[in-house]
Amino acid sequence: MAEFKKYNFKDINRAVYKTLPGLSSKIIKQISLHKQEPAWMLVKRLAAYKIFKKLPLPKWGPNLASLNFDQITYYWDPANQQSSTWQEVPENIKNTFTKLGIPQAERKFLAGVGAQYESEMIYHNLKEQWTKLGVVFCDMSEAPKLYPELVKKYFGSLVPAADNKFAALNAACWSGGSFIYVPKGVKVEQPLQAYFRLNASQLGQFERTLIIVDEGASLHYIEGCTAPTYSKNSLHAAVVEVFALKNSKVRYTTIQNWSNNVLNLVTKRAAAEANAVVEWVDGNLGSKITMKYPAVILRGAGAKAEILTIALAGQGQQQDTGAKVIHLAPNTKSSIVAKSISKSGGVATYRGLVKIGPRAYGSQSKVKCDALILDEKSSSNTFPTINDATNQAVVEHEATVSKISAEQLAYLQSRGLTSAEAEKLIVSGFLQIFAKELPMEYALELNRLIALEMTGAVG
Amino acid sequence: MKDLKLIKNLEVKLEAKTLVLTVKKRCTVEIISAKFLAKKIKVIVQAGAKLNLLISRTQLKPENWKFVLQEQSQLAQVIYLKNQSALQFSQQFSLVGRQASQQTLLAGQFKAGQTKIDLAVKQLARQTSSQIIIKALAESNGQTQITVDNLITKVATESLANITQQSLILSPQAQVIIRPNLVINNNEVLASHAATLGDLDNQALIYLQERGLTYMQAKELLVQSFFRPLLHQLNSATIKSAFCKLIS
Repeated sequence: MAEFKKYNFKDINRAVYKTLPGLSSKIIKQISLHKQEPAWMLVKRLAAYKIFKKLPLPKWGPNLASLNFDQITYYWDPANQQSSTWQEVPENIKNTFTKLGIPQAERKFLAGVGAQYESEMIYHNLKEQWTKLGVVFCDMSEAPKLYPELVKKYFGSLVPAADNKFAALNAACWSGGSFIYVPKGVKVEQPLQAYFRLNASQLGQFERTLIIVDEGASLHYIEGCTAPTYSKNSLHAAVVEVFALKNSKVRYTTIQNWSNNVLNLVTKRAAAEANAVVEWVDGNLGSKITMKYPAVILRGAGAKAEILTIALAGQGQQQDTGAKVIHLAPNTKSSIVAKSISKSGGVATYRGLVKIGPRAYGSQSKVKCDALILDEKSSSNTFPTINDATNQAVVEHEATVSKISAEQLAYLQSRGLTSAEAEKLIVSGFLQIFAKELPMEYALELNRLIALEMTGAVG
Repeated sequence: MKDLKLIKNLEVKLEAKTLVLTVKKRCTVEIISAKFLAKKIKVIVQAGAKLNLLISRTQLKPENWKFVLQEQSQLAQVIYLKNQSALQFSQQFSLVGRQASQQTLLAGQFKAGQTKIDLAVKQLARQTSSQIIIKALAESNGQTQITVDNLITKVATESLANITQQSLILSPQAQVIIRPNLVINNNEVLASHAATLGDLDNQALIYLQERGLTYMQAKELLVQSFFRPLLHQLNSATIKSAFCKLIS
């Protein structure tokens, strides 16, 4: 339980500035004014708001009828200023992130850290060696003012507001998130990390992350998310756009551990140019409902996508996750590995798409989905779609759904483990492929989180 | 083509424009070549009965098929669609009785136009089993869309489900869309699906041409060998021999 308290503690909700619940053009103008952003961004926000009002909720997937857009607070500024040294962060927020281990992590192995509390990034710091090489890692809210040309060129070009209702909502009231630019040829060897914390009840967090990795450059970006549990739902509707230019490499790792009152409805998309490599490593442990399908559009010849996603759906949780890869250019390659576990009545769903366009000759794609259902109350679904429009590509897909092997359980119990310990060990082994892809500190944290989920301490 | 009414142990009725076929309890019925006279067809396989069915292109007039499988009944079905252009049909399987099983093997060569095939399996009782194997060849500018929905309900414990879809796309203008969907609502199951899409093996084509076959002969041989493994899945000798003739 002590481990559980590490994520579930609540702070006293203090805001320097917040909007009234509900969304309107007036509130959007207030957000834009408070952020002192350029007029062109407000125009984009208002256009997106019009689209948001027109678009319906998705008719497929989990039931989102309980979502009341009028009760949500769309903007909450906890600090009114961003700090670049840890000492400058307001004491109460500093305590929150200290409990979550952010400053320690930064000291140990990260190239830079960003921390978002409610609607705003309250801290951003990038080690000097990377600043000198021209790497930019800043609050997305600052990017339209500091790097208008880059933002104008890339913002919304991969996830346009009309993509879906939640992308439109994000484009209308986004705040915070990370803006990263890695110049040509620069290889950022240590990961950059952002940590997102939702503290207040019935709050919406709508961060926007824009990553541009220039030709021949490389980057590993990690994000972590937590929130304490309230009786009323909070909404997290982020948008992530990643541009991997020619010969670059980007890895985007997420460990989502939202509390079980958060609706996590996220649109994440990457575009890979010629010979670029994009890797999504996506772990979904918390939330009430998650709908997240990281996508890669392979639009340059020889580009490659690797997506590894895991989902653990416990009591009252629906993890509707998956991956999408769209092959538009010749000799592109993709691999999707999806693993899910459902327990205590949880529903884990894999929803995926592999699309091979007519020009994507010589392309290859491989998809593997495995699901474990731990008890009779839980469910597991797989909805893959494969759309192949060329005769010169190879696509393979396989999926299995089963329960924990009785033989494995019996073997471990015969070695002295209790049934619960044996089950925990088998689940950790099942997800090992994911843990192996994480930096060691994160892998240890993931194992602790899985153990917590397995004992039912979370949610 | 056989008149269905002449088949022993098969009851044939027409109810509200739906042709209803009932395989009587504990009987085995084989339908290889028959006339189906309605657009909708409902097949009831009673407890302990077996139905072996071979449907070919000309018999696919009924666009909507419903199968109801009672306790310990078995359905083994082969659908063969040669040079099919623009087709739309659906089949639904309800496995309502304990230990009911269905096996559907679909071999199709799809040419011009849009083909849409929907197969939906509902496993509603314990120890039921479903296997669907689809082998599709897409040629010319055909667009083929095959969706399989397999639901295993809470009560269908100790059940098995397998969906295998293999497609060869033989023309740059052809398109194949497949959706092998599984919805599993209990943990006492073994369910899997697998899919592959690709072109004819180029090396094998060259090898056969080096041995004196023309390109078309080599291609024809490889197409035959693509469908041939389905024969090993068949238990009924009559169906096997009839299907073998069709693919040769």
